[in-house]
Amino acid sequence: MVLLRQIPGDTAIHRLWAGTKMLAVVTYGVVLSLVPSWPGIVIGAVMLLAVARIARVPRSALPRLPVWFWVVMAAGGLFTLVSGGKPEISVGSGHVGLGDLELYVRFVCLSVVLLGASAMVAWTTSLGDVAPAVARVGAPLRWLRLPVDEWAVTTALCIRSLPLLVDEMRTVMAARRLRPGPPGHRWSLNTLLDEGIDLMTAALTASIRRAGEMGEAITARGGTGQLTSQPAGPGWPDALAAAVVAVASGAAIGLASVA
Amino acid sequence: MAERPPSVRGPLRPLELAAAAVLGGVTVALAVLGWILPHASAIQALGAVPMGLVAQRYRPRAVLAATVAGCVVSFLVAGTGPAYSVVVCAIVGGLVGDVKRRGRGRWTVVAATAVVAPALAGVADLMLLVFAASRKLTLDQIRNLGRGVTGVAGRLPLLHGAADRANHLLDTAIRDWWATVAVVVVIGLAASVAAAWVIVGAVLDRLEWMVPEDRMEAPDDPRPIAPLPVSLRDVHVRYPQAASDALDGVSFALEGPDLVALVGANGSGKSTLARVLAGRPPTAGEVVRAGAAGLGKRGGTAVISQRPESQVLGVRVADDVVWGLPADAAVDVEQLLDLVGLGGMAARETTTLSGGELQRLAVAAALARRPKLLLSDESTAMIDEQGRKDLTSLLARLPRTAQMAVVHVTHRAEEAAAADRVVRLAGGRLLEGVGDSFPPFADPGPTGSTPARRGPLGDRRAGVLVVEDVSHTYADGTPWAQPALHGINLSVGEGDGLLIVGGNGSGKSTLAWVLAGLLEPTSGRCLLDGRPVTRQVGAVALAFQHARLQLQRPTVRSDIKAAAGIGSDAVPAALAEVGLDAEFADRRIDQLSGGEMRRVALAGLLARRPRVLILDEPLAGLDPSSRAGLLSVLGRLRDEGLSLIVISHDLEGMGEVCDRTALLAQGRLQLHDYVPEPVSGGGPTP
Repeated sequence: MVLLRQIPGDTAIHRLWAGTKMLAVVTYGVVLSLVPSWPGIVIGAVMLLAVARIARVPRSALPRLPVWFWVVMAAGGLFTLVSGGKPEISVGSGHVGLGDLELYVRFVCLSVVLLGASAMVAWTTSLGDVAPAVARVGAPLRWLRLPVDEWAVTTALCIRSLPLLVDEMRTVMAARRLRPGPPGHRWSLNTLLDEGIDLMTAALTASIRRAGEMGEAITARGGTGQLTSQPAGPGWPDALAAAVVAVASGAAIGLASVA
Repeated sequence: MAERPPSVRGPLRPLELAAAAVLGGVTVALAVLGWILPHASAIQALGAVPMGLVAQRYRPRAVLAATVAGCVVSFLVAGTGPAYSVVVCAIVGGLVGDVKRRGRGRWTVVAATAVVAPALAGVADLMLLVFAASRKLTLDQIRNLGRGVTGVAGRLPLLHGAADRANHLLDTAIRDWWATVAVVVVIGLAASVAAAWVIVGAVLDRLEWMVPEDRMEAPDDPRPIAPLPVSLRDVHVRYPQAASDALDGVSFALEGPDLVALVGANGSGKSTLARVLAGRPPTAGEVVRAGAAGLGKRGGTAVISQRPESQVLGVRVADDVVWGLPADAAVDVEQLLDLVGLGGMAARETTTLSGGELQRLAVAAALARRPKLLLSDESTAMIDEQGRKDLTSLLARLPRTAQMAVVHVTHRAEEAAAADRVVRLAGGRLLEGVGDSFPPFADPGPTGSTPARRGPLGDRRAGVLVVEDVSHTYADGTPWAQPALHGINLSVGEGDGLLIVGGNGSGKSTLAWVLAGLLEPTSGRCLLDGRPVTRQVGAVALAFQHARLQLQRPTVRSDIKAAAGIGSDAVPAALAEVGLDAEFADRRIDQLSGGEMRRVALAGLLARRPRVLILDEPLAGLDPSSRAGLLSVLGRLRDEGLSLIVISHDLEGMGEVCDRTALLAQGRLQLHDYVPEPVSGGGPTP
């Protein structure tokens, strides 16, 4: 499973400011949560497909889902079909209500669009641009005397250390697999709890040590300051993107109230 | 008892920032994992533990920073779902950790929960009121699924009545959603807090002794920055809670742009001396300096430390060079990268660099500050031979080209050769011999010599572990596909000793995972006694480079018991196997040194009687005496007939325990140096 990796490229979408992309996704996400109706979902899906096309996101970037996922999805559909709902159609001698199925499909599509939108940000944004964008987007919060810069630094360090942490966790789990199970393979709640605490302690020991070293490295650099060598900000393509999202949001809300 | 951190105000200090980021990252990893693997969704609840740790040790301000960072990162990874669980973990962990920090008991937790839970329930209801349409969609969805299930169940005569009642209950719950949600939130939070109280308490108790200290932090020095000349007179340093002095009366002076090598074994005080030069005040004695040390400041002191991946802070190479510089500082990043041999790599992500490249990047970041004094604190200890050569020659050039003094701390005699001055430390004291003559260390084993021939090797034609045409590509079939191994063929017989040499990024860790059955290769097979090794995980033992991750129980005894599935009575024999006394069984894992950890991990692996033992970088970061100890243990095991595969970038001393060497480069394996005879089924012989 590949997480948080940019798809290499230099397209118009890649060049958009990271803040624009994050705000666009959050904005449209809020709109869809306010009006979770078909027009909004379709508009969102169309925008996603267009962005994927412009950014040249290959189909192979999509995660391959395991079989049980599809089984669960199909089971959910079947149960809602049993539940019925209007409108009904007659199949042979009986009636089948499709109303609840429509609701189910809408619910699933909504989730897919929302997930796809945040994946699209990760696919087209260099991770190094995220924290500086957080600092800039959060700038107004400084008026409330909130430590926005501190949050941006923490975000940057979090992004930096995440791959290292995932590696360490994989190693802890692998080391566990090399060991035999509990005596007689009897798993009880207690052995599970003990095991969980042991693994957590092993992983956190490594993390605490890393935090200590990272803290010293920050001190060795004379504290915090610049986060990136290429400070970025919004330009006219960002204004255009914002306008598209604004129109789409307006359309989603407007069409939902008409429907 | 761990001491409570002093109550400070103002911005987060470096250690607090790092702890918030790293521990927040652990919460993110758990939340995302639980989200993408629904059958492991209980893992998300563990995310409260790292947050609890932040809250227990640092200010609420750090918890807030960890929460914001965690939300942003988890949202990027997998959307609002995991971001929401990060917030819940922060609330639960923050509440429990804060109560622990104040040293209060369970009644305080109950009281705090009684306040927080209704407030959260109110917030949840309010959100659902605002997002009414989504609420309706979700609730209808739940009702429909419920109706579907009861509809199917209701066809069975036995369940007919129950299905009706369930439907009725569901309808009531959905009609009065605000009450239902409030009850669910309150009960859910109370249960999470109760679970977190138990788990966080247990984990914190075991981590209590481990309070990282920022050993670089020094009080403000208002004088203008001038780290040189500096002279130390009878300096003593004792760390808090230490029984003896780390530096015991050292006098030392440093004036101009020289290369000074500071050599000594682990624990000799050489890193402490470097910290004093960087501005750490001594416990006793006098440090006379022209001005302030100015650690990390322009024209001051810069430090490069041991662990490559911990000191590189930027996400991209260019970001790391400027990381932490004042906003108005302009730096020619390209020129600096050229200087350290990383030209053209500015846009690369730092996670893709090798250890040696990371260390040279750290030098570039140090040079961006135009320091007058550069301290290299064991910066060559964890990297491969080529990386070491590049880095030492770079450091040796700097006094001439950049007019700065370079102090290189190392335990390797050969790295001192280029130095203008060599200073030796032992037991916190300076040794005589400062100057031209440098007494070399007793290093175990000759370097790069022909491997020694060892005793009888058993029937080598019967391959115990056979690798057939194995290739592996990470994230195969995605835009991020990263080939790691290509067509590996290998056969290891009983009593064989094989050394696989490869630099950083050659695929050696991937190969180790495949050989141990922990990773199913994309193509090809790895067989142990004719059966796929992935079906018999544990039969091939693997000692990881990072031994601490392999030791998962609180004490040596309990860890060896768990590792091998043996009883207490067998533990002394397991310890004897790796040359440790029986009394060692009572030691706590976290109080072991790096070399001792490796040996205990080895004892646990060996007690399971594996057919083959793989060691990943067994000597990295060990000083000469720990190396010698470990090598003698490995040599004896070999003599007793265990098949050994050592994977390392380090040839040093390995001739004693291995009689075959294979070179792994860019995922391809070449066998050579067969002593005493070639093995059937091996790869191409040069």
